[in-house]
Amino acid sequence: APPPANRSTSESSGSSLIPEKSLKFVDDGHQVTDSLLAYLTDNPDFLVIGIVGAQGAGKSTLLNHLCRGRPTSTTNLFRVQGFEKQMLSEHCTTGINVWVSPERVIYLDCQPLLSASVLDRTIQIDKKHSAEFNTAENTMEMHSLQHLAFFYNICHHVILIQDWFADSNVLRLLQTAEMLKPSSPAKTCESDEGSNQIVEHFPVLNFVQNKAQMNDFSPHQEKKMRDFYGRVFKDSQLHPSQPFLEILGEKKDAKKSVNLYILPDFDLEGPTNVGNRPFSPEIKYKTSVDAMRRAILSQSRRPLTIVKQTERTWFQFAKDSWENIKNSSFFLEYSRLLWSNKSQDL
Amino acid sequence: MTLTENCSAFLPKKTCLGYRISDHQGHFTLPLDRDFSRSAFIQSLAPGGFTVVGVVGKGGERPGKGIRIFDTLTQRAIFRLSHHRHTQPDAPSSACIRGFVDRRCQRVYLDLEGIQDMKALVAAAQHAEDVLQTQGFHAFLSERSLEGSKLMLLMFQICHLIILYHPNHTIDLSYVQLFQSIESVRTKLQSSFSDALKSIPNLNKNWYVYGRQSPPRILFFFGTAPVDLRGSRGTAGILKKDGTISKHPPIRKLEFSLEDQIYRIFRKARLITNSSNNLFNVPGRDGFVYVDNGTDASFGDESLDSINALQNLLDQPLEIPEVRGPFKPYFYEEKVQESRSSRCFSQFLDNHLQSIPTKGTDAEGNLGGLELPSIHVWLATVEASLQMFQPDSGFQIRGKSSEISERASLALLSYNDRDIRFSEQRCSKAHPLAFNAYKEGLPQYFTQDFHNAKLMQAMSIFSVQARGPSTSKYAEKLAEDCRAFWENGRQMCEEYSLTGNPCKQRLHYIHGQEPSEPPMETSDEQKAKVDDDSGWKRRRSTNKKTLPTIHHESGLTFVSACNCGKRQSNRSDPFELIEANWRFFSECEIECCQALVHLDFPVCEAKANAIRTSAALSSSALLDLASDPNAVKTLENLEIKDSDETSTTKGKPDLPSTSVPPFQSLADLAQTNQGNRPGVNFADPISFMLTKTTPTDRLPLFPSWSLIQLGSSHLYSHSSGMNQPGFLQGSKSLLPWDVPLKKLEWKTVKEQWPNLAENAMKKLNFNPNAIGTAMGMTVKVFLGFEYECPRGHRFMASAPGQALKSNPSGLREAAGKVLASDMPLFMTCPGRIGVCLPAQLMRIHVVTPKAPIHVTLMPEVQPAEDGPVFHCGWKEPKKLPHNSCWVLRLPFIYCGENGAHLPPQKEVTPQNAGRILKGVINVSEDFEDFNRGK
Repeated sequence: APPPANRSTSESSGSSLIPEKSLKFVDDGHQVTDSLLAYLTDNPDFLVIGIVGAQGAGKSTLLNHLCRGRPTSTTNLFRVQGFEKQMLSEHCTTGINVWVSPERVIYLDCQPLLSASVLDRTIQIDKKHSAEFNTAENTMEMHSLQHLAFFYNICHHVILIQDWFADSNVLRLLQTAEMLKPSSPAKTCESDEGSNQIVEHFPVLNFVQNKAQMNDFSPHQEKKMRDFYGRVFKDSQLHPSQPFLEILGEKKDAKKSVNLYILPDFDLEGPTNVGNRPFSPEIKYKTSVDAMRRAILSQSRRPLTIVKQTERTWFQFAKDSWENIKNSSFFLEYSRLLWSNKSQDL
Repeated sequence: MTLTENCSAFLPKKTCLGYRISDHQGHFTLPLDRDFSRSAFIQSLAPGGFTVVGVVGKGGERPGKGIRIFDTLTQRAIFRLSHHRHTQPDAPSSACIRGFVDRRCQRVYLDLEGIQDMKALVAAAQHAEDVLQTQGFHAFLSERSLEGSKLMLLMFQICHLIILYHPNHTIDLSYVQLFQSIESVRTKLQSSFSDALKSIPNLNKNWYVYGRQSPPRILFFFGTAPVDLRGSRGTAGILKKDGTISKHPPIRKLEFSLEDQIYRIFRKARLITNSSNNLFNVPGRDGFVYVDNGTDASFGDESLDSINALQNLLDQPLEIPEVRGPFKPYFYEEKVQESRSSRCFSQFLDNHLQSIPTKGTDAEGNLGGLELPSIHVWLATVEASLQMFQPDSGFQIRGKSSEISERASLALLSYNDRDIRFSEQRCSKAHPLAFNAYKEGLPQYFTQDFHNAKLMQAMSIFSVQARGPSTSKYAEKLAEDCRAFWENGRQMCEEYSLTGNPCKQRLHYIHGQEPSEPPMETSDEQKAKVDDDSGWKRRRSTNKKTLPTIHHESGLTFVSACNCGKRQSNRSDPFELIEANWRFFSECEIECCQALVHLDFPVCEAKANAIRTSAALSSSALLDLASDPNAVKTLENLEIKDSDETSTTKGKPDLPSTSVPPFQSLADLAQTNQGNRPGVNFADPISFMLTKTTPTDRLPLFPSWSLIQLGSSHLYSHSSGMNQPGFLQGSKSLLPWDVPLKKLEWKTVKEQWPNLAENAMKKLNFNPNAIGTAMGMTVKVFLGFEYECPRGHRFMASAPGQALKSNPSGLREAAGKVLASDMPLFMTCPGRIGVCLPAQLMRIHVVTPKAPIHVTLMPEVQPAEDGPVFHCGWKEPKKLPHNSCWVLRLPFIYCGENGAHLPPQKEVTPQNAGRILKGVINVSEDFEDFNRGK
């Protein structure tokens, strides 16, 4: 849809323009595109949610449900793996896609982390990115890290979706990206001599256990998962739990609990769907996603930068962040380490 | 993390809970238990050749991959039972291989369990909560995955076929790098493996050459299918465009795509090459990917789901999961009938196992020809290979240099700890940057505060550049290095002067306070030379010894007049009370007022003499900042106190240790000089000044006050004022004070004080017949409160807080105001506009008249509100002889029991000005010495 010429600058969500479908935010050439800018306003009250996960974990599907509240079977905002792609084990999202909702929530959908399909494509197309980080699989990994670090800079919330509990490599990747994330570009221009305190933004991390089986809904299992994530991210600067709950007058024990949302296996016709289950997966999925959206939208937001931002300044900030990440020497250094592993020979 | 620690996982494990897994027909665990009975184990098994099938990969949290694959394969609860029976609460992090010998099928099943399995990972995370909290996930993972990697290498040595399990339907790329590291280690260790096998007779030639029988085949098992390909959707035919049904169902197509992806990626990563000695072989002919789409009847069961859910609710696993009932039991004792569907993993596996060529097919002993070993032989090779992982030899190879194995171990480690290495690398780059930032633009010597500020600056640079788990370690190192740099000759003394200014010299000793004998540090020094590469520590150890012995020096110089006020000279900022209030003035006296009449003040007389004669005058306080961190803290506290405007007291809790020793030593000296005479006041002299709260029997060593007679009263001319240097224009006159003579009779006056009578008769209100005040006879006393600022500006006060400003017309101020009130100790010096320098009340000038009265002095100074009141030790007011000029010089520093009072730091306010109590000057007519007037 071509962006209309008279873009409304009104801050009320009603008069803002909403893209019909998700737009490209970062294209497969690794460049930020400006297509979103036409839909952004000077509204300072917005929320950025990014979703990451492995291939086929259900990122785009979950986003579609989060965006609209109900799945629209005909037009998906974010393209999901259809039958054909599933059969060929091919990924669907390349780069980063974006959609902004009437509630002024900016949803970001990322290409799968550490995806064999993405790697396979670069191998077949050959040498598209391989010069950047020596080998194709290194480039794959470095791009995943860059996407994550990018999200850490520009998102209020990052959702990690997994379809099994749990891939230690993905958890590790998340923390490696945390380590590599360069200082946010907004901070450096803001830093004054007076305060030596460096405030680096890190998003709230939300875990989603997708395709959960009946067992995963037991309190015992749920606690086990929460405890595990809590331990793994104990030393991390990402916020796996929401520390603002106490201010909002919630229960104290809820304060420390990890943001974990369990979504049932969304299988309508599978062989196990015999109707004698205690819940219908489809209904459960919707209610779970609704609860999740409410939880995320109601949480107070950590400011991304010291300066208050509007949607449009955020966009510029995101662009700067992406350039900053692409130019960061940290990633190059890290990739050299990956490379040196392999070149080590007797 | 050391090698031995990592290898400790290979230590034989305790058998748990009285249940020995090896007793249970065919079960065993690698590395073998110490009490594993080989003969009993082998006897229980059938003879003949066995095929070894292993499973590796990431087991989901429930059920484990061994259960998922082998229990379904055999339709028996082998691994499931083993898991329930064999939980290891004491060592949850260790990796092991669980094995089972299936006699019926002549197969050995191996399940590599380790940190890759969620069950173990969750348990390990629980167990190592402190590691996760302090060192983070990277350290935790790399510490715990090395053992798993080693056992993974072992799997590739001892298996015929390896199944790589993954819980969902995507390829896990982490195996690319893991396999690359394992392959690189394997090629390095190949000869060592073959050496290890040499002692076993009758092996196939390949064993000796390659250290293993053959490269194992690898199969990929994906635990779930995509939603649209599950169940019948995956097996239904696809209608092609031309109307025909596709040859392969969707699930097969997915398998094909996965096979293609794997092949291309592994090929690109050089895991698949044309060599016959790869880490593994990918079977070319048959498919090597199996995706479970739920159609295999032997996998999964709804009722089992329910049972598992129930178990979870109970919060405790049931002892034996054999649940029988009206529903279909999960495990059949007998093999189930052939599945309805054509898709069946056991069939898939069987096909592969059957295609492995067996003994005899290749007489040359090529890799293709496999001899299926007997359990006996196989176990021997496993044990021999395991020898390399024995904890006593580390990752060692018997009879070979350990260098290769070290590097091999490092290579495995390098895959696991790249995050930590990155962090190390990053931090070691950030450290010098930050350190240089610290060193940039430093003055020659600097204070703790300056050091802290620079350190903060360096830290902020460091924190932008440093990353990862090593950050805290390097941050500590940076702080330590900066501190060492500062302490190595750049440390400022920072001892505070009595006026509140720090000593600007480098850290030093002062005379008389050097360590009596330099400690013998040669051994320490040598040691430091050996083990300290940075060199800082070594120099630090000699730091103390090389400290210079110099005076404190704040760099500030004041101008101050001498006792009588006639001469002004420079003085340095005093650090000692004796210097401040006595020595400076006595040195000035030598060239000026020495010959004049002095009135003494009470001091500890005998010892004071010793001071005057002793050459050891220069002894001073020692405050070794470096050796006493408390002292530094005290100074910090002091600063906070100083900034407080209302309290100008400079607290000195450590005063006894700083000031008393010199005095005590002098006192000792004095005592020896006096030969311990009895009867002398032996109360120790006080190191501070007399206040109202000082016990009456205690006296100071030296007077802080001075009282000098300049000469006869004629010296003062009221028209020209005080003829002394430094006085501001119009501010050098004394104030006249008319004192009525009350007791005197006219007759006496006329006879004995003709000068008074003459003056009196000139007055209009003189009435010679009256008595006392009514007679109207007054005498003039001149007095002045002289203030002096640090720059030597002097001025008289005309009223509290007001400088005298005599105008040319000759209008004189009277002394009434200054006598009737408390005069402030400090006033803002009017000498320079715009600069707020506090001038201190330094002298009180009195000119006594030639008249039968005594002018008395009794100065009492309270330098701080609610502070102590200082006096000069007189028991009663001092009578000044008549007809003379007197100068009372007040102390430069007021130092009470709790420390010195600082002058106002910024502006002088009524709150911080201090005061001299009123009544300092008085008159009394009790004049006996009438003859003096004649």
